[in-house]
Amino acid sequence: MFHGAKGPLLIERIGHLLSINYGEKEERKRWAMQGISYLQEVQCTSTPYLEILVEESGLRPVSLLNSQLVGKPHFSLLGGFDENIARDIISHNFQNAIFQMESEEVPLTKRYQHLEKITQISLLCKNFKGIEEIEYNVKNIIQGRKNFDMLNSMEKDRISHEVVQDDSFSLLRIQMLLCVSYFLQERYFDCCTKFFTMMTSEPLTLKVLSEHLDCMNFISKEEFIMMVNISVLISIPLDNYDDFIYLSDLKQFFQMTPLLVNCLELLINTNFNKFFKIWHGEINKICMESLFLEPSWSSSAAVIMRCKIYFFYLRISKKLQFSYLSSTLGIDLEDIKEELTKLIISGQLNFEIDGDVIHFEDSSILQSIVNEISRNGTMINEVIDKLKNENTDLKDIIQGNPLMYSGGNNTATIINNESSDDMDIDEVNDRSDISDSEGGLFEC
Amino acid sequence: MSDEDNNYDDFMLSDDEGMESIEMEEETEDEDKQNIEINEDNSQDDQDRGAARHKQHEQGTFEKHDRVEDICERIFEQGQALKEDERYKEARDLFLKIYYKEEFSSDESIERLMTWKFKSLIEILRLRALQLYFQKNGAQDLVLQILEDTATMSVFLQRIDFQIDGNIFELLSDTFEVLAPKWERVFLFDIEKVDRENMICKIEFQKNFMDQFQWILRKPGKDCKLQNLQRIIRKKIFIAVVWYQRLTMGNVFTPEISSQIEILVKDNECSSFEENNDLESVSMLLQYYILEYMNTARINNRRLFKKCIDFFEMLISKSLTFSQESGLMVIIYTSKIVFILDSDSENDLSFALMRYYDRKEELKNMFLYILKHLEEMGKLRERDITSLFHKFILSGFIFTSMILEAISTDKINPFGFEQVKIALGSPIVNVLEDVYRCFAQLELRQLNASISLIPELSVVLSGIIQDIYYLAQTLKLWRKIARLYSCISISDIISMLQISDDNEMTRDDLLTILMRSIMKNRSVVYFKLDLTSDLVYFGDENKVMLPRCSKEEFRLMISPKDEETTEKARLIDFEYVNDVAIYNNPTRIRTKSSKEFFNTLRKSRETVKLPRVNNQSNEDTFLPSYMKFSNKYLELCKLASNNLE
Repeated sequence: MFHGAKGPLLIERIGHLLSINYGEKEERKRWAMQGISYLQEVQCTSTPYLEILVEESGLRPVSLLNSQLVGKPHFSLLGGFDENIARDIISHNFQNAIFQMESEEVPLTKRYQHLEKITQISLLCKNFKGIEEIEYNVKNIIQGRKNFDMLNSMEKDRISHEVVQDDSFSLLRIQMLLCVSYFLQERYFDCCTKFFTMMTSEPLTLKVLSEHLDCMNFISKEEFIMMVNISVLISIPLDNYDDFIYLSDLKQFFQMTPLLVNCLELLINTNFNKFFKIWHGEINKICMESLFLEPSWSSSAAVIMRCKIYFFYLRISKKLQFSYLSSTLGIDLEDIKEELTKLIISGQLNFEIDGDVIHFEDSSILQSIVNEISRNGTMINEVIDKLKNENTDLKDIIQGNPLMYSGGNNTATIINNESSDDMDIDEVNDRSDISDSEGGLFEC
Repeated sequence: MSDEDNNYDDFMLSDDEGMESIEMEEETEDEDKQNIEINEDNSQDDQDRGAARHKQHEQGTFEKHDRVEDICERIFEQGQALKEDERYKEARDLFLKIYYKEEFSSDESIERLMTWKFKSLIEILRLRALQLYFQKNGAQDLVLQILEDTATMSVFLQRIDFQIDGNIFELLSDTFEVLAPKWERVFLFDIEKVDRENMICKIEFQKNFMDQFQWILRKPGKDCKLQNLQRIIRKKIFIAVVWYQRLTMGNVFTPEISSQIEILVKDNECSSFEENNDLESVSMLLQYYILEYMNTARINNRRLFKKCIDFFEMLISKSLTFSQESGLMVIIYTSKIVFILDSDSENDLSFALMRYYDRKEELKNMFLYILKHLEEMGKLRERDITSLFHKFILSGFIFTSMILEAISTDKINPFGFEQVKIALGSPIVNVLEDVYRCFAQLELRQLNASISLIPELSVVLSGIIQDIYYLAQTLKLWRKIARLYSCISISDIISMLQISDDNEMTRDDLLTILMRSIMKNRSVVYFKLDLTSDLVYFGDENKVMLPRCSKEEFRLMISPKDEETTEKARLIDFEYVNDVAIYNNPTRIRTKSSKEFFNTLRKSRETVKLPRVNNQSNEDTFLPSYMKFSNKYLELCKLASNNLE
């Protein structure tokens, strides 16, 4: 459940489970007790989770204060951090912890391990700006090491092999933490791209992942692989799963995680129902239990995957029903209604919802403007028609009663005379001719 | 002592040569003659060497001239010479003479005498092994004599209790190989056309021969050489039992055999599989599994099966001789095919990671290799093709070729292959030609009828046959139906794609075909579904824009209100749109490198299509950047209409 966490991470993991209200009441009580006894052992009770710990454990706050322990806590309880820094982390005093770590002087052989710890704390406090800086530095370090290796391939033997190996393990783990950082920022594509780039350029990646990640007491191997899996499923388009699964340079990774291959196969065969059984079953469980996976999972990952499939159905259909989707995909009807409606609106899709039925309805973003303009058009046409009619009436009157105006020649002169006052009538006539020819534009 | 060693070496040398000639003589008669010539040369050499040694003896050790062992040696050499002249009867008498030499326990050289006796017995046993194996029926006398000699050997061994020297085990196991050799040219899974009577005789002999050594199995002892010998005896007896049962009763899946068959190979975690097993038992187990598959279309112990295949492949890759042994190659290729066809392979991860086309191509090639090897073995005559195994291989080859022909560009008619041409005119090939024709013409019901003419293959090849049906349905849908109709109901399509009355195609099956094809942008004709009334619309006129605006318009629309918070929000929205792939143009990414794959994806995510800027003025085109002002336009319009009213 806690992936063998010791040290401050234990409190984080317990706090996380308790605050998302996970598990049975009895279980939660047990975890809370475990957390409290840990806090007593390290003599630090200033954690923000304290309240929920006390509440879930059912203990009276008084008994907490009675912690009678003296002396330094055992180093195994500190998760590899210094005592003060461990306490800072427990009490979420992250900035202080980072500041202290950064100002500390470390021997050259320990510098990467040190940087790794800083990255861990930055991740805990979601200081993504700081992590970006670390990423930049790591990039330079790796580039530098490569150049160094090329120049001094002979001298490499002098440096103790173990130190070199420790260093490269640390550097690899830092890069893995960068993937975690992308995941926490919900940048799923970046997360898996980063990992696979790393895997193909650093031959040790999978070894570190399978053998040297758990021992850091931070993110577990299982969590990390799941994180990559989710990122892959989310960010690779449905149409390209079939290309992805055959990438031969990733074969080793696929063999580590049959779950991913299984999911990809189901999706490729459009067996969405079975896929969602896994997505909402096994994958959901692992995500909910994990401090690192749960936030992104609950906030977007789970939904994006569903939307991806909804969108696929929209792609292939003119008309479909919510109830059909719900039974085909095995997802609750109300959820589908809410999520799909949101997808159509926020994605500005050409679909209309009519009760249970969703149907394609071609409408551009300019549709409302076009509607408005054509309304104006008809209105103008109407006015013009009215004027035109008045005009003809007037003409008829004039032609029918030529004697009303004195002199036959005069009549023609008056009508043809451009400077005449009656010119207005002709003008209207001309205009209406124009509008007649242009009326088609508005009527379309 | 050194003398003896020399003798032994010589002995082993001639022995090896004997083995070699046995193996080679199996090939053809022409080679036979050559071999004899070679053998003569060798014997010439041997005699020369023998003479040289004799001289040495005469010079050095005169006083020991009448020692028993020297007499034995001379008789032994004479015996061997006679053997080479194919005067077996006299040779046997000579060797027996050594065996009947009196033993004086006080004699210090008793040990060496025993060695000579043992060697003589071995010679007697092997004397007519060749004859035994090349004579057909009616070698009963010979068989009886050899069995009698074996009994003598067995008694002798019990008497001396293996006390001769360290090489006794090797000599014994070599003799077993000579008299009960492994079966390389007949397969447990293909006995329909073998000369059954003759084969049963041989197996019976092997069984009786090995049974004489049963007592060794009961001998306690931790000596690894002894244990090894026991293993060989156990193996030989068991294999003979399996063969006997297969030949006489046909069925080998009795509790007695199935419970023991896997003991043939040693597979435990503490020692490596490679070091503990031999070709004969692994090959036997593979044949047993193949037979199991042919009967039930299932393999019970896939894990062990895989291990055996790997072991076999390793041996073949290491040795050129093995890889030229057609019999072995038939076994290994058939095993690999069966491993793939076995229904459980669907759950096998390594298959999931292989392209459909590559998988089928691999299968086709293996079927073809088997045909070639069978041809080399002279087992591809017309009368052979009626056996189930041959039908299986031939049909497998044609079927996989058909699939490949349909999904790739290289059109090679499988009936043009040499190995298939041989069989042209046989009933099975006639059926296969029909199948091929119906498939090409997409006549589904007739295709099914033709395939049902070979019911015996429907189970073993069911995976491939299902693939053929699926492919034929897909092709018919796109080539015949989609091009003809602009709107058709799902149930009508289903009835058109029906393969037979009892093999109902479901609505989901059809939807899967449709959806899979659109997903890969492979559908020949574009389509849309009306899932409320189960209609399919075909035609390009159904290609429509799903989003109301282009990707660029969309990006511009998520206009930030205040810079601080939206910088992040915007990114996530854009990520979301990319993840759901709203603006994605489905394209295939054909690459084997992950780097290229992800670069292509990144490009398509980041590209926001810009309007084409040409030299003409953009006055008439609506630029997406105007989208920003869409609200303003609307307001203007409304204002105008208000004024009009």
